[in-house]
Amino acid sequence: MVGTDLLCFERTLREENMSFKSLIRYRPESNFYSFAGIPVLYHCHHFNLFLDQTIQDALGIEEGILLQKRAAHIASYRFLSKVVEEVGVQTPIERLQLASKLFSYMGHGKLHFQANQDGGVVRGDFLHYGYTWKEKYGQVVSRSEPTDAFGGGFAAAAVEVAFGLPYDSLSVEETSCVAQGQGSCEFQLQRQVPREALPPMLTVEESERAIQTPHIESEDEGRVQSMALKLKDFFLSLESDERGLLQGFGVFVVMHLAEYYNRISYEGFYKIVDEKPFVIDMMTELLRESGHVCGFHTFGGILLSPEWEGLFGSHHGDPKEILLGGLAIARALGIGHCGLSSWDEGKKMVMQASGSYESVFHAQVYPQTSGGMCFFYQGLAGALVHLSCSVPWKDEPKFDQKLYYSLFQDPKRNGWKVKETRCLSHGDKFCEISAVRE
Amino acid sequence: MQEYSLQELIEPSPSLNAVFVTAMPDCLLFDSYEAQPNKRDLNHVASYVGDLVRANREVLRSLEEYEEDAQITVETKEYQIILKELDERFVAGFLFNRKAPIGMVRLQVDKMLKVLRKHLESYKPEEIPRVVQVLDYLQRYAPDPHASMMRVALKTGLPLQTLQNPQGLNEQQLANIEESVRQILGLKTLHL
Repeated sequence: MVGTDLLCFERTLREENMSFKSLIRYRPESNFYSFAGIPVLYHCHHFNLFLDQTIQDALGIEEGILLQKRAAHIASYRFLSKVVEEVGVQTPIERLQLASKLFSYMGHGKLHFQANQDGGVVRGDFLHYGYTWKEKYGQVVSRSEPTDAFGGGFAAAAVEVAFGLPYDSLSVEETSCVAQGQGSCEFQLQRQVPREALPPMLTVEESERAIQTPHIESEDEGRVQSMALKLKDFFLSLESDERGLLQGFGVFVVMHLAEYYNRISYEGFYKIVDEKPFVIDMMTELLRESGHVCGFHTFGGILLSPEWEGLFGSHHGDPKEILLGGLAIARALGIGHCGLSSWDEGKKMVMQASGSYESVFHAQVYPQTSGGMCFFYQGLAGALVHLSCSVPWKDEPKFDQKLYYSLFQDPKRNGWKVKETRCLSHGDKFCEISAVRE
Repeated sequence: MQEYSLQELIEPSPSLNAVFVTAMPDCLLFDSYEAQPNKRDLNHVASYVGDLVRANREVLRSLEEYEEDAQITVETKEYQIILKELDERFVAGFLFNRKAPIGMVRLQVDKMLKVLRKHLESYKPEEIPRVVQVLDYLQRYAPDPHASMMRVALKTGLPLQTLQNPQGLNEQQLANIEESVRQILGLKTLHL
């Protein structure tokens, strides 16, 4: 597929008069981000790896990777089309440069395109998924399957958008991956007859009009929102390093497409409901766990960081202070407008949210459910009660695997039971999660 | 079950710090002697003995030097550590001071091996079902041990309670468990 007529784009990116930041909007009332009108949010590598792993465990590795590539392809095609439209770049080479720059800007690593409308090769360096998998697990286990389904879907979409092709005109295969022990990642793109049209999706504005939710007031609302806005400014000021990665608070962070997370979670979930309903509880538990592991590592790391101290002063590990800080972080990351509804110290916590990035998607795409569907949010609630009640803050703990296992080896999680009692997906006006210590 | 104790059998020596017998293939500490009791966690040490012994076999095989009677000697700043396979059921480990003369160490090891062999020859270890060994192995090496059993449950479709008491599973279910453990650990085959 790679011929002499291939365009080579290994050149230094020109300083173009575009600013990605000007395309990012943060809605203080919903605490959601959009990038060129497409919902995005920040997430950490702990969450990303665990979520991808859970999908592959549930569906099987091959089918899981297929679902992830498709979700990445759809979400990235929609996203890149909008960015290209907003920025107004016309030529394929400019569009590919834009895609490459965008990928790094969001903390996903580096993509080098050697491809045209017929396909080609895309090399990936320091890709968020592969690189962080190697960092986190590479010393413990080996892996025979590639990890960068998102990078692959993004690469295929980038070439399609660059050359004005319809969605799904290119197939993509990751043929080399650092997680498998190779030096870099590589994707092979091949031209194909599109098998499907791009599934429709509401824009942020349209979905806000379609799903109207009441404004939730947290305990100490003014303080929580003020912290959230300061943190949001801080997150937006972060710049990826020379590897194209965003590293801070002891984790790797990415700005990610909410549609990717939601498609892999819910399409995976409903496939299991249809085909293997007997494992749905286990899948749900592990989807929650991806939120729990993120809440613990990322939120814990932020709360203990010098940046936090610089912005808000040091805290003393007061449980309510930790909870409110955690909710401010959630708002700043773009999880949604969540607040502390009630807190009976060490016994019960109730959190409410006007909507999470999960429930807003689920409510517009899927029929009403019989229970809560905000899996990340449920896991986060569990992590927050543990951060507030189980972590020895005065000892300045290190939020590493060792501390995590020492706290959560017990599957009963120190008696805390978390339940989503209301959810937009269920037809409720807002989402509500309670954590009760039994 | 045990009719003797290493603490009684082993003759103390100024350079001998510990002796530990590991039951294979489960890598569980069977019995131990320590000059200063509870100075170290020998249970933890025993859990890695299998890896070391297996790796040693593979190295010797690749050098075409494999022999069943070979022993492993590791020298660190503080210790000389000697591991010796007594038979397919047990591995004996000896922890000497680094400064002890090697000739004297070998002599003492030979003497103690004779004692150990004599006392272990009539012992018949309890057969542990392979599926229990496989899940135990997973718990020991899984990257996220707190979630490893849930992952096996999701991959195999078997309830957690069944995995905690896996006796009575059929051949296919056992094969599925083993395959899921192999995938989680990223191994082509499981050498237990």
